[in-house]
Amino acid sequence: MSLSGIELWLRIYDHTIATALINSIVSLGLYISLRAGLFNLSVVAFQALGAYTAGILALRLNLPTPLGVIAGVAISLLIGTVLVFPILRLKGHYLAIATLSFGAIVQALALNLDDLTNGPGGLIGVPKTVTIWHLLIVLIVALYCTWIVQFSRMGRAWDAIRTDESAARAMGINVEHYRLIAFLATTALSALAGALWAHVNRVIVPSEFGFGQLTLALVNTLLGGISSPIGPVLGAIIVSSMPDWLYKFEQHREAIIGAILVVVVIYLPNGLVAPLRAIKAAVARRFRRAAIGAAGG
Amino acid sequence: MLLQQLVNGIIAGSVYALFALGFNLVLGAMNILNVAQGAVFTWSALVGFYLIKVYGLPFPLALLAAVAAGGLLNMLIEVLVFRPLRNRGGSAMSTLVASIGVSMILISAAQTASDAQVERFPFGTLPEIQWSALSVRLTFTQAVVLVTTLATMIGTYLLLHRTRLGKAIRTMAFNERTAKMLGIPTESVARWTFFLSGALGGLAGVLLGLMFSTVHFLMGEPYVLKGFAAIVIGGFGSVIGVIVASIMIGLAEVFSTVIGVGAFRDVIIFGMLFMFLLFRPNGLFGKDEEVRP
Repeated sequence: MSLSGIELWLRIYDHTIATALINSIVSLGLYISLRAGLFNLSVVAFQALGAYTAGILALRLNLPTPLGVIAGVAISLLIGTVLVFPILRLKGHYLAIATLSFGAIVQALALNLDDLTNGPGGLIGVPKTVTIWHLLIVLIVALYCTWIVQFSRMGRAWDAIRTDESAARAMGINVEHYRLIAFLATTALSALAGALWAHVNRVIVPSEFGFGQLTLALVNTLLGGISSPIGPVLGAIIVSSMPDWLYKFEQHREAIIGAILVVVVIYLPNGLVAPLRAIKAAVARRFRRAAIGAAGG
Repeated sequence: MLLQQLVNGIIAGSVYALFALGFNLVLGAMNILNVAQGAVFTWSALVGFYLIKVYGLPFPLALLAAVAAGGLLNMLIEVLVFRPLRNRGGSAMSTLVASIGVSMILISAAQTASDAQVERFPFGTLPEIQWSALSVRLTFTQAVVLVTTLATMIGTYLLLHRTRLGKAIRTMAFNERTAKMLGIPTESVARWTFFLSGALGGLAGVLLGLMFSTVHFLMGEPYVLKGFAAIVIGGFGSVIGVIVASIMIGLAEVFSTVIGVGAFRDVIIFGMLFMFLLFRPNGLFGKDEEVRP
């Protein structure tokens, strides 16, 4: 493919690629919570908070994009810090219900605070200042940080808490501390994705931040698998590009995503990364055997 | 006027209670938060609607058929999805995610089946009679809803506390391993629990579709969140608590409209839910010392 060919392809698929990158950042955020054993369903709510803050600041106050994005993340972190204490007292289903209902509150407010959010019509005409390259850099930095953290003391603490909370506590891990950090990291990443999305999509409507978006984030993360940060990104890229290679089944998209969710949860609990790993290990074994054979012969 | 709103709120709340009871049953006995209950609710309403509109069945028969359909659908979900998941040692999170997936499949199918149309039960499904007393108006539909709901609540209570199946379900809610050791056929009890829960959801679907005179493929979604709120506010595993909480939610909805903040009723309900989680995490009727799983 020539250079101009690549340019044309980029222009055609610009929006798809941007969506895939944004969804990757959100899924990475969700991944951190799941990794720490928190079934945190507030990602879409914080995405909405980030998007609306950035959008309102850009439209009403003509603030430059970086300031608006930082403000979006800061406000979400502030609200997240207030929320985190009651929420982290809960476990399992109750944590899921609490975070889910927080999402319902945010969506209802976005729909009804007409003066601020322009109601169901949404904010229109946010300047498009964020390009694919910005998103790619953000994603790579986030991916790198998640990767580093995973092998650090904190990552091991998260794994311990997820596997067995009582045992983790007995080993002297400060469970509350590490769960709080995981929750706030998720909050920050989802708000960042939301704020960037406002400047990519130019339009923010409340209906985009509903249950559907949440299931999409869950599908992305679980399809890829939560054993490696690559998983959620892989899942987000596959699912976000689905409308393009499944355009014939457009009206059954929801059903297809639902079926993927069910099959993955039952038969591939470690996500798509697990079979890829198995293949990699098999290939490595074969090479090693060949090398030993060559050396021995 | 105020009394009328009170009656309306109680009737709406008692239907929410049917839905929430189904939720609570599966959550209590199986520790599964079955989001697909909302889709089962929608499908029952659709089945009831088509039986009346297309096949002209009388209302009681159509109601029974729709309730049975809801129960069977939920049982099918248990057999096809939740049981394989349990056998493979799925966590609480994976069951919730699987139920979200099932819910998406069923809602998408409902969209295709109903052609995304908003339908209404034909005029005269139930006789258009109304009674007035003390400036309160009660339509025949509301009366049917109230009587059916009350009868079902009492029936559910009796089933759980006076029959062998109820005893088995409550034992499973206590501890599944203990139930197995006592020789309770947990697989079949699980199936019947799901049937019962789906039937309750289906009944709520037909009754709400009738009362608000709309049937469409997305009708179940708001009730899922209201059901969650009812379970948390009422206290985990408490039948009475869930009923009281559901009626509170119905009243909160009606009165937020009366005082002119109807647009924010979801904010009020979920704000209530949050306050309960914050100050009384065991709900209205939950025991204080209980540690939530």
